[in-house]
Amino acid sequence: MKGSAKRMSSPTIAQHAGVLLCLGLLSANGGAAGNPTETDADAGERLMLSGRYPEAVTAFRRALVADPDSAPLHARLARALAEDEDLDGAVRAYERTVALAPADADSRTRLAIILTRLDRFEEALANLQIAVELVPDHAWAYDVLGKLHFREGRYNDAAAAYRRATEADADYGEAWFDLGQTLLRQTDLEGAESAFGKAVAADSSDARFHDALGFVHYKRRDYQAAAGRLVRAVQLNPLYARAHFNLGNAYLRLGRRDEGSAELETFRLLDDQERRIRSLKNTILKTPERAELYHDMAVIFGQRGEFEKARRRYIQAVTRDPNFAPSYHNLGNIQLRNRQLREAMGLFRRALRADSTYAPAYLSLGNMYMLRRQPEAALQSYRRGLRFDPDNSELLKRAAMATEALAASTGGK
Amino acid sequence: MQSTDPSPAGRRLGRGALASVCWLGLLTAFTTVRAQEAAGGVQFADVTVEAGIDFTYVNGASGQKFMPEAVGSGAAFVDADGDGFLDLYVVNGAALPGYDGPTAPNAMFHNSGDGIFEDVTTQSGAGDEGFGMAAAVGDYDSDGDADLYVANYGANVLFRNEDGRGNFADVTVAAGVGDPGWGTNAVFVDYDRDGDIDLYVANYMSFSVDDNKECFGGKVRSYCGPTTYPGQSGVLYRNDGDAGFADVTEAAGLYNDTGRQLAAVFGDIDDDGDQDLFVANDKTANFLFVNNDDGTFTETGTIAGVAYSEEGLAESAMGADLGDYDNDGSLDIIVATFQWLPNTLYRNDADGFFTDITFDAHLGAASVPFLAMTSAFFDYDNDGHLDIMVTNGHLDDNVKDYDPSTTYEQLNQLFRNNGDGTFTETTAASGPGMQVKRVSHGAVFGDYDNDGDIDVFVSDSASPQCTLLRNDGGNHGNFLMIRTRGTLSNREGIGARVRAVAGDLVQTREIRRGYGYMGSNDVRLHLGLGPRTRVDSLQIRWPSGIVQTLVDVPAGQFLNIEETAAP
Repeated sequence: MKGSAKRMSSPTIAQHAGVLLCLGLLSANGGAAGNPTETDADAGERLMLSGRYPEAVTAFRRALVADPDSAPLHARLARALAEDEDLDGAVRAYERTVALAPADADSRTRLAIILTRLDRFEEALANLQIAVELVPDHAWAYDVLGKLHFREGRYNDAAAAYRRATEADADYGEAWFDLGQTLLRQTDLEGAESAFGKAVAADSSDARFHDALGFVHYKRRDYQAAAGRLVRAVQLNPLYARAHFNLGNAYLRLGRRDEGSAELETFRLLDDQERRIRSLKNTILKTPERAELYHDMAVIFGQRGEFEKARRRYIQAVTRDPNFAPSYHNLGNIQLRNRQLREAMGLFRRALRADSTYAPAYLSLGNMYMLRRQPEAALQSYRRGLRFDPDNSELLKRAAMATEALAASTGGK
Repeated sequence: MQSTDPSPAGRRLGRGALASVCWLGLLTAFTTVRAQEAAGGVQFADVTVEAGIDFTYVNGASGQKFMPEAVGSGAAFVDADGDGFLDLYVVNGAALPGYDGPTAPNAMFHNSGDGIFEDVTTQSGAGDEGFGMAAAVGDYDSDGDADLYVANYGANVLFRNEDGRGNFADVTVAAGVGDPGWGTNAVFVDYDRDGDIDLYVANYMSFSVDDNKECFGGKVRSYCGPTTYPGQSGVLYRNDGDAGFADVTEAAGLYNDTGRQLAAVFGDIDDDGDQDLFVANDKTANFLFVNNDDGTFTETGTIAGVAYSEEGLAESAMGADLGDYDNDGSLDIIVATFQWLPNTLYRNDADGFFTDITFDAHLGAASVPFLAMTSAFFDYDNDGHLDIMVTNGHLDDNVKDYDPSTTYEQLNQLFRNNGDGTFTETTAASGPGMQVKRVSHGAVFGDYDNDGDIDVFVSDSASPQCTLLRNDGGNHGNFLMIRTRGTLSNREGIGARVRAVAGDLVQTREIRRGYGYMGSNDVRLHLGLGPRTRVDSLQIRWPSGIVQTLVDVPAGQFLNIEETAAP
């Protein structure tokens, strides 16, 4: 069902908010309307925090009606648009921001990042150069500038930019990490190790930094030391594919073939997921209205155990298409994981209002009734599901269980 | 048994340098000579026009961005008429829906032996009109002449050399090798060591013009990425002699449709006497199929460390080659990759593992700004160390519209092996033929003028400007050119492993035709010897298992070696 996106003519944010509100989806972060005294700008920030980016966009746009020349408001709008994968819109909003506030180096840096995602590298480079001219110790801008040089193989320029970033902020772990990567490409293993060490010192919780140090050990053929460091990286972030890759290779070189193979298999799984996510993001750039793309991405996040990311993507899906049953259904499952049973049930019902033939929702709804010890209602739900998916083995099994439970509860009468 | 052929062409030492003196004055000449020294004194001259090669490539593009338009096609050096000079077979594209321009079949050019090629396509009967991708050459029927297989986007074609004089007949149906997939490479190999050559066809993806998806670079239409469409498995055809070929892909353990195969190269990677298979996949993990010597293969790419680069990236791998660049006796792997990725060099550690040493070998940074298609080892300066040639060119003719930092036409690149595990890019110093920006995709290597050094033919996937690059000065170093003839082994000795010791220089090479990108190369084994005038010992390990050793072999000759149990 997930591929059957139903298109609609631009639903209003109010419609979505109403839908989500009545389903209790907004309860974790407050209602759509918020405090009566809340400004549109504050509402936008609050909505951003809860992952409701389209509504945040609307809120910021509303705020801009009242204050059209506010550079900070344009910047906040740009961030919301970027989160909502409307990168062209984000570029326009950031361009407006820097037109109103030409000395806003942060916005120029953010603009450069978005331009890079759109493959508009020369424009990105121009904005970064202005940013570092405006603020000569703008570490972040230097780091992004370094990444641009790195991409095109200009490693001397990249290293120089990263060094400027670390000079401006000696605790900037990301810049040390990037510098280390560049030095690796320049075959300066010692320099890379030093840079990665500083990255770890700046932030010992970042798996990438430990992974990079482990990789230096690997390059030196000190596989034991590499494995130790890489295990730490995997512990810190079990979803970091490259750490599994490096650890697998280190194990193999240590003769620990089974462990190595297992780590490489994990890497392949994670790498495949990451590539699918990247692919979906790219497709969304071209066709941002397709609800099923957000849904598919949410499913992958769910498979990775990243449920908050999944939740945000499902919300984006139903925002694009308020009748997209699979996303309501899966949102219900997330609520179920959070033990929000009432909200989960509401979402399963909402899925069926969106698509009364969506069998998985009947199954989930039936399961909810069973949890509530209402086998009759459960059986009814399972049977409805079977009307639309008569061979669904899970529905058949559950229906049999509900029948048994019903018989037991009525004493076989 | 051995015999020698005289080298008919004189040496051309210093030709480029003298020209520079005349034209540009002493100072410039000095600079030029210095630059040429950096390139090993070798200049590549574009002799396409003077050689009479008039070929117009048709990519069939109509603006609809059908994928086959973009990947280019290859060529083959083949001595079709057995006169001792390499002829040239050039693969062509064809019309795709919406294209209404002229078309032309694949072309056969006969090498007259005096530097001139004559178009003999019609007479040869090998002018296939399918949408051609790759050509493979091999004596599949062991009758002593070179046959020809063409991999197409669409059904492939096998041409039998009917009389050893370059008259070909289409025998595809009888042979049963007309695989209908998107064939991007084909290689003849004796994988089962039974004395005849089998055939492996690499397939790219399940693309159909009827299901052409719209993809974009930025806001403009571009060719789709390789994972837009499902992959196709390669096909292994076992040669069953008079019974034709049998598709044994699944039985051999080679069925795998998860890749996007663009190159397939055979070589004895684990030095156990049989031919293993490396497959370069576009944006999916590469395969390394290790030959179990029982008719089956085991895929070990990830474990061996060649499926992904050292950064854990499934590269956009294009062309590939195997070669012992560091002369340590093990075959290493070079892979050409997409723009903004380095071409990757995997060193064979001879313990079952490979190490990505791209940047340590100084091959990384120089290759990042280019979209590479062919990557091939060859010893262009006859110093006994394998150098690397890379052909470059983007896929999208409108790439500037969405990535102004690159171009459609790009320079090809030459990397000279320094003999110490590193390479130096010598493109700029390697003559005018290397200074031209084109959309070069396929390339094949061979000594077409029999002067003891390796020349290059580069096919161009967009413009009609394919290029014959004559190597001038490579034969400044001594050489040995070896042609093997199997008796128990397959007729051409494909897969024979040669170990040549000349003083301190020890080279391990294999007899093969298929490497690079979509092409088939000179089957004669070229050994550069530098200043050495003799090879102390020349050991040939034939696919049959027979090991034959020749001693004290003079350099500078074309040597024929026939397989014999008692040398």
